[in-house]
This record gives sequence, C-alpha cells and structure tokens, in this order.
Amino acid sequence: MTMRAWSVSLVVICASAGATIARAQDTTTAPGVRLGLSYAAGTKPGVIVLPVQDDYGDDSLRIIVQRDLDYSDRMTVIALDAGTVGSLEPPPGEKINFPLVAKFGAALLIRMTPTTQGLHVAAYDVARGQLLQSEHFLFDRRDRDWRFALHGVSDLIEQWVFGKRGIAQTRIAYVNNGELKIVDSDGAETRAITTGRGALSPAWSPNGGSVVFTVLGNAGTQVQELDVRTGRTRRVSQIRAGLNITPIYQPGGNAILYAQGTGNGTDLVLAALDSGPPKKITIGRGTDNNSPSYSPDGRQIAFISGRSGSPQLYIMDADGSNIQLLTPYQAGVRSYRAGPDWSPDGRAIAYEQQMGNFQVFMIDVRDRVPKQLTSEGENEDPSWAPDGRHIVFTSSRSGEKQLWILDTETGRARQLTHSRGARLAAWSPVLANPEVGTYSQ
Amino acid sequence: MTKKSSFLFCALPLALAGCFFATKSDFDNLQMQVIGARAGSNAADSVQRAYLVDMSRTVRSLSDSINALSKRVGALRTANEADLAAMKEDISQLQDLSGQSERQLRDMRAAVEEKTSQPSQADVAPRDSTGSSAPVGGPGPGQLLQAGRDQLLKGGNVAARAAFSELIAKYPKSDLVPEAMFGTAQAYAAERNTDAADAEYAKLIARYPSSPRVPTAMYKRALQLQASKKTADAKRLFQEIIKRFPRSDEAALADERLQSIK
Repeated sequence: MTMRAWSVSLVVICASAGATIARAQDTTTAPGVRLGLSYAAGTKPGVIVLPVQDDYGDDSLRIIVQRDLDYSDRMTVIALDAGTVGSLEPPPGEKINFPLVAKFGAALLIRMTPTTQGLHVAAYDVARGQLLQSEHFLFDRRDRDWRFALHGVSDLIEQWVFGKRGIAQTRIAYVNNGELKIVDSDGAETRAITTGRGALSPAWSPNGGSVVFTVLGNAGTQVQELDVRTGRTRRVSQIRAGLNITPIYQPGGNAILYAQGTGNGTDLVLAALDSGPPKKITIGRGTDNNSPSYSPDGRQIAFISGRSGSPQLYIMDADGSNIQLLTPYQAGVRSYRAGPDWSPDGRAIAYEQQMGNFQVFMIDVRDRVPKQLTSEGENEDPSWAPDGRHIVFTSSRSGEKQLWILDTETGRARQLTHSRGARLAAWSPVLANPEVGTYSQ
Repeated sequence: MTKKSSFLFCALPLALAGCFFATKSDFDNLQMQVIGARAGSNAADSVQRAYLVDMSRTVRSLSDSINALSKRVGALRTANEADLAAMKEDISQLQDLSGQSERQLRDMRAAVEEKTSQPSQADVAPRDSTGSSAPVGGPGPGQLLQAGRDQLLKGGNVAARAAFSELIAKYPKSDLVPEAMFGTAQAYAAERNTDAADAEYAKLIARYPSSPRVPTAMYKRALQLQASKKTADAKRLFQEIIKRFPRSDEAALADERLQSIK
C-alpha cells in the first residue's frame, strides 16, 4: 500500500458550494474540478524539465523554470546530463516514453515549446502517462521583464500540480547601506529603487503596487510611499516628520499603521491615506509599542510592546482593544523579542528572539507554541512569502549580513543576496504587473 | 544792636574763664572714664561676636541637616518611583500572564474534556448538575469554545457561531459562556454584521458585568456608537469604561477617543 502511487491534492476550484466532484479523470476536460499529480504520499514528486529549442545557455528558460521548481521546495528536480535528458524528448510524431521517464524517478514531466507568439507549456503525469495540463503563454524574450514573466509560468505549473500557486513571481524589497533595493525571489535582477540614503523598514502594499518605508533625515524619520510601477515617491503628508518607524499598509491598502515616538514612549498610530487625522491604536503609558503586522483578514495586529518590562510579542484587535501576550513567559528569562510578521495564511507569526544572539522563531497562533527556525549565526527580520511556507530573513551565517530564504517545512535555506549589509527584507505579494522603475530621492 | 546780642557779648568771657580754672586730675578722671567705657564696649562686642559665631555654626549645621534630609527624601522618592515603576511592570506582566495562563487552562480543559468524552459514550450519566461538564456523547464546553475559536481563526464565522451557540445552549451555567458570547460577537463583527455584534456585546455586558471581557465589549460598543454618529452615547460609554475599569487598556483608549471627540 505504501509503495502504491495514489492521487493527492484533490482540489476543488469551483467556488460553488453545491459543486460535486467530477467523475472524469482528465483534468483538462472537467470544468470546475481538477485532480492533481499522481505521486507517492509523503514524498516530493520528482520533475524533469525537457530541453527547450533555441534556448540560451546558463540563463535558459529550462534552467530558470527548473530553479523555480526547485526553490518551491515542493518538488525534486531530477538533474540529468544533456545526452540523457535529450533522449527523453520523442522524435516528431512519436509519443513520450513514460515508463522510461518514470525509471529516472520522475512523477512530472515538463515540456516547453517556443512558438511564434510565445511559449507552449505542457505538464505530464508520468505515472498515468497522460497530459496533466497545458497552456499557451504570450511571451517575448525581448521584453525587459521576460524573466519575471517566466517565473509566472513556473508558478502556474505548481498550481497545476498542487492546486496552489508558487512564489517565483514575487520580489523582495530590502535595505542595503541605506538604499532601498528590490530583488526577484530567485536572487536575480537586483535593482536599487531609491538613490538616497537613510531608507528603513520597507513594506509592500497588499496589491504589490507600492512600498512604504521611512527615510531618516535631519528632521527625524519621515514616512514615504513609492509607486513601484512609475518609480515616483511621495511623502505621506498625513504623517508629520518625527520619530516615525516600522510603517505597514492596512490590508485594504488605504491606511498606514506605524509607530510614532514621543517623549512619553512609542505608540502605534493609524493614518488614513485619504482623509482624517491619524489616530492612536495603542496607549502605552510611557512604554514602547512598535513593529506592527496585520493578520491577513485585517482583524488583528501583532506587535512588540515593552509594557510588561522587556519587549514581547502581543496581539490585539485592529481597534486596539483585547490585547493579549502571545509569547510564553519563561521563568527567570526576560528574552527580547522583535520584528513580528503574520503569515499570509494566518496560522503563525514569525519573529526574532534574543538568546545571546538573535534567532528566528515562529509561533502558532492557535496553540501558541513557539518553534525555533534558525540556529546558525545571527538571524533576524523575518518576512513571510505569500505561500505561508518560506521566510526571508537577515543572516550572518555566511560571515556577513545577507538575506537568506528558509523553507519552514523542510528547514532548507538558500542565500538570496550577495552584497554586504543587506537587511530589513519584506517579501511582496504575488505580483500581477512586474514593472519596476527607479527614482531619485 | 538788639537785647539778645548784648547778652551773648557779656556771657562768653565768663564761660572761657571757667575752662581756664579746671584741674589736671579732672582731665585724668575723664580719660579713665573714657577708657573704662571703651573696655566695657569691647567686652560686650566680643560676647556678641561669640554669640554670632555660635549662631552661625548652629545655622550651618541646621542647613546641613536639612540638605541631608532633603537628599534622603529625594533618594527615597526616586527609590519609590523606581519601585512603583517596577511594581507597575510586574502588575502588567501579571495581568498578561494571567490572561495567558487562563487561556492555557482553557486549552488544557478542552484537551481533558476531549479525552474523557472518548471512552464509552453510551452509558455514562451526566456528572455535573450545574451544566458545566460534558453531557453524554457530546463535546464539553472547553471543546466547544476551542472549536469555535479555531473556526474564527480560519474565517469560518458561521461554524464558529454554531459552536459558541451550542456551548451557551448546552452549558448555560458554564464559566465559559461569557467567552462564547464574546466569540459570537466577534464572529458577527467578522461578517460585518455590526448590529448583531453590538447586540451580543450588550448582552454580555448586561449578564456578566464582572467578566474580564466587559471593558473590551464596552469599548467596541462605544466605537460602534461613534461610527453611527451617536456621539453623546459613545461619549457616555467611553466615560463609563474609564470609571469602571480605570486600569484597563480600553480605559486608556477611551480617554484618547474622548479627547478626539472634544
């Protein structure tokens, strides 16, 4: 029974509550119902990506898609030498030799064929020896963002297989020597989006169209908003210059929640972008309350507060009431906690905790049991990927501070940036329009 | 010449003749008297000086004592302030931890209920007539509360309300009923059914006035009133929160909102 392949990921994508599971096994013909790939339960399915005609060496379509699927941590990319993988491509008019493909341990076979208008992508279920899904993508390699568009193809392949879109078509904003930069989720295409110094705490808008951040100047810190598509920046006029830190967007995108320092501590303040004066969400009575992070439904806020002594992780309702301590008390230990980020699926909150040096933890919102995610070097500033599985964070494990990505399920980590001093990363939502410009501050 | 001038003219030679006839011993006597008077005055001065020096010493010592006392009072005040701040922190921590422990206890209770309800559900009679323990075959109040909360977290608001409502109906005397009512209100609020949420909060405040959920429920009601432009009612409720629960977070928030209303 254990060796027997069985079908997993039965995904009902029809929104109708009355929809019934289709009888047909063919995923491409049953509207509203899709059966996923056949592979052994509890394993990562193996995938082989066939070579693409007229591809470009190291930056080939095949390599990019393979890398995306590998970085998803949901599949095992089977590396074959050029001769072997070439032999899997059937001659024109002949069928794919699925038993041979299966012998290499693949459950999924990807075939990409350039066409006059773009790229035809087909995914095959090797165990069943049939087409899982195929689609034609408008794609032009001369486009500035062709790599990013290709990441979208990888994400869709993941959706065909697991019923959940991947995270390749996302970007990560971060601070590097006071400059705000953006990098693709695979570590390519790094670009500076501010030219001035003093940028801190970037956070993406819910639709990925803009980034809010603070700029440290002579008059204190000012909250600014950058339109990622046009590259234009504006000062958020509703927020006066002062000690304004850790801004984030409200899930609706029409207000900014930030921490405002005064002579009497720091409090969270909500500033609507259209009208009305900013209003306080916490009244710390002289203590510091900062680093807010909304739950995905916008009903709750995680934040750091020193109200009971050392900074701890709290949650509260979005109106500031119903405050609860989230991180458990340890007798005799007053460990410092900071930088919370609520996962996009709402299940957990990632944060950093001082244990001599800083390490990244996550805590389940339901059970309230913390789990240590890192231990090598110093690790801080976690930010969740839209899949609620991967985390980007700053780590000194390579000897200097760099951004790393961790799969919280397998513990696999990979280095994202290679320029010294990268920190304060913020992972974007899945981006629909990937245009990125530059601007002068 | 007048009469007055002729009198002066006769008297002056007589006075000059008197001075001429005073003896040397008279001068010596006078000198001795002057010296004696001067010595007496000096002695009085030195007594007075000694007295003043003594006074000055006393004043200085008094001043030093006052300074020392003032320093001690200052130190005591600082220590008291530090103690008060530490006490305040401890109280906050205790409040936070008591909330956390309460939650942990509820979780444990749900787990225990789950375990005890598993074996032979057929022939066991209800153990508690107060209605706070699990009846035959059904989940206990802790389990129902946990189930409702889990649904709330997942966004299953209707299912959450069903679980809370079952708890309230089956275990009307359970100490978890206020929690279930609060959860019901939250589920309604998540569905943007503000009227139903408000009614549930009102019910909770009226039936369980000493529940720790009351300040939050009152604050949410006041915000709802403010949003509905019933400013006077909102103001009254904010003031009531401050009066009834002055140490609560909601009291501080209410104070802030009152200032914005003014």
